[in-house]
Amino acid sequence: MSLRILGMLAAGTLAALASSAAQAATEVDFWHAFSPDIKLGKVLTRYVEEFNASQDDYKVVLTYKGTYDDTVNATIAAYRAGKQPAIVQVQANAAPTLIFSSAIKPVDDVMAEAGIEVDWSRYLEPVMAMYRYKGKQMAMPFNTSTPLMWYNADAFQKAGIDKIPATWTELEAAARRLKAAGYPCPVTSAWQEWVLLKNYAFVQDLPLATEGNGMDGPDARLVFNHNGVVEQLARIGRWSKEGLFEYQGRQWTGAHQAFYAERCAVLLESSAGYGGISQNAKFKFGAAVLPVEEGTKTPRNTFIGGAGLFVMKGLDKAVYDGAAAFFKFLSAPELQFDWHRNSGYVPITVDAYELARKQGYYEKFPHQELAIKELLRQPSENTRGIRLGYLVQIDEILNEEMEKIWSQEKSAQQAADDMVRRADPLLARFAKTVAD
Amino acid sequence: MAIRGKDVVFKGRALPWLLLAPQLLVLAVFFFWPAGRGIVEAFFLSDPFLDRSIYVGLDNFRALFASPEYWDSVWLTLRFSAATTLLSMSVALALAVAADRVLRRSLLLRSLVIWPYAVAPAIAGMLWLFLFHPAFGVLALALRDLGVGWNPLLDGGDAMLLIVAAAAWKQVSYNFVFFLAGLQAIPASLIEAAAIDGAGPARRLRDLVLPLLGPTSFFLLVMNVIYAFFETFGIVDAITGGGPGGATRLLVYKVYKDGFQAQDLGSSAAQSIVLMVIVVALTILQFRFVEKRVSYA
Repeated sequence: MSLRILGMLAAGTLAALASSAAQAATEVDFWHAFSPDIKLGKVLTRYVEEFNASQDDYKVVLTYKGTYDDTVNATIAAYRAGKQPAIVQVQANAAPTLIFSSAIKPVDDVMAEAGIEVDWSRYLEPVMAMYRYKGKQMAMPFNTSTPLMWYNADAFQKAGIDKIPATWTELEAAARRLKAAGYPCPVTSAWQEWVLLKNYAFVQDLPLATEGNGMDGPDARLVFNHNGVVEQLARIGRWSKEGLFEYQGRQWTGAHQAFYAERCAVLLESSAGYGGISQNAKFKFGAAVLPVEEGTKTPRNTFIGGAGLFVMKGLDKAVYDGAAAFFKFLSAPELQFDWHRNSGYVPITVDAYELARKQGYYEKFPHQELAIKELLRQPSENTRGIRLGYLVQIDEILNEEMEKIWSQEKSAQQAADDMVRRADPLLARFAKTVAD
Repeated sequence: MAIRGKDVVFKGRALPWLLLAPQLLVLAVFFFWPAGRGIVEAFFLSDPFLDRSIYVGLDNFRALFASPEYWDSVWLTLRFSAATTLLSMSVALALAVAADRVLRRSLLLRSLVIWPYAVAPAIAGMLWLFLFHPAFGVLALALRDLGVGWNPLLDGGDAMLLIVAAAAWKQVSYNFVFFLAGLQAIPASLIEAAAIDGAGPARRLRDLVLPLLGPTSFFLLVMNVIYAFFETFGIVDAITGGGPGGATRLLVYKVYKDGFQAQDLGSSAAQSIVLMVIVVALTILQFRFVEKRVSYA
């Protein structure tokens, strides 16, 4: 081959390389579960557009995949076919499946390989802990919420309640007054297993399962049928019998509707419920932190809900670098503050929290700070998170057995024993599917 | 070559296979392949990404049969299917008899009755929920004002009633079409002859119309049972989510929930096989015992 031809070839290749780099930035697929029709979806779209416009190397391609379940299922199918997205939004109850699998690339590795240093200590600890396994950050937290106690302030006034209940005993006394003032449903809760069971155990520092609630490994077993959780279940069961608590279904719709209709005066529900409540409540409402047990010296941090962003294995380095750059973009304090304001979710970094405080945001929206305060409490071994295999089925079991307590079909002890009896074989089966 | 009786035989093997190929291909790709995968999965414990699959023999089945909650699901599915089939077929028959007598020529009204069949199960569920949810259902709130204790969120019986009603409502129109066609296929002269012999409407229905509808009814029985077993998970998902306390946890809903939400593929596959065996057994029973009493004359 003559030098001239070689030179021509080289020039051609160079030109081709240059033009392809100019035309096509590396595409980073991001699958998520926020409908583009709702505010959350619109806000997310705006962030992606801003990121894409801010640089030329990467282009994040946002795809709405339906519900959280749809998104995970689509990701699993895509992974099996070798067509997985780079980033996928996964709800907390499906997170263990991904964390224990070998299908993801830990976010720590993604950031390190892209040469981006992250100071995880500037992130909210309970939020990060949820996605940390064997010392590694497995996912990037994204939309994070935690439950609060929402109340109808007009109803409190009508019932003559001056002090916002801070303990479960005080809440019971308030509930009796509300009942006497004509409220057929003094207290209700959305997402009962999350709020009344898991979060109760967190605040009271009670273990739910061995292995640090499964955070240290898949070989966990439930243990809460021998601790204070049973008394809590018995209490709500008794309230249900006396008409102080009215069950409105497993998710949030029923509880919200009953709260808006002023049938229920206290709604235990996610901090992210603010959007719906502020739009629909035709009365003065307020929020407070979740009640604690009488005499609790150090209430612990609450348990988070929401979703994190996972990075799938098996893609090119350039794609991972793009994902890393996007995560860095998402974590900026200004953006996190914007997300906090627009979504009702908590910011994931302390810097964003301080920025919001400095700008006086919480003077106008005090409830937004309550969730962060709950999360910033001193954590313990029992409150790092919950990571149980087949969690969807286990939550189903918890829901079923709780309903049997509310309907007085089972005693709290019997139901708690049955939760453990039914869930442990599932946990044992799941542990077998996890490679060491 | 002489053609003798029925002995017409194609020579060569290629042509028949070639003609069958498109159909077989469709069956293979969309039925045998996935169904075969499902059967294999039932004997494995896998992580959803299939990075790790362990052969566990019959463990998935053993775990099911050892769970009292699974047996609850079996019984309540049988009850649900019987109730749904009975309700949807009897309402459809009543409507068809009424329509046959009065609306013989009104295509419009007959078409209206068919509408619910076109509604997707999840949407049908939502419609019923908007009527009967204790917190915001229009009819549920009216019931509460009347002092009727209606609470499908905690009362398993109420919840079961609700999904039976929703599932049956959706199927009524399908049954109606077949019953109406069956009724209109009965020659008017036969009915007239019976009337001249002095048989009243009730008598004519019992001794003439119903026996003549036998084949239609049998077909609908088989179809409705299959519908109740396989196609109702959308309704359960929208209305009760299997609650309260598992009172409406139908087998097919559990297959869906465990497989597609909890990613417990092995158990979900084993459950599908159990469900299939139950339905095949029921269908065989129907053919052996019910069909014998059907006259196709």
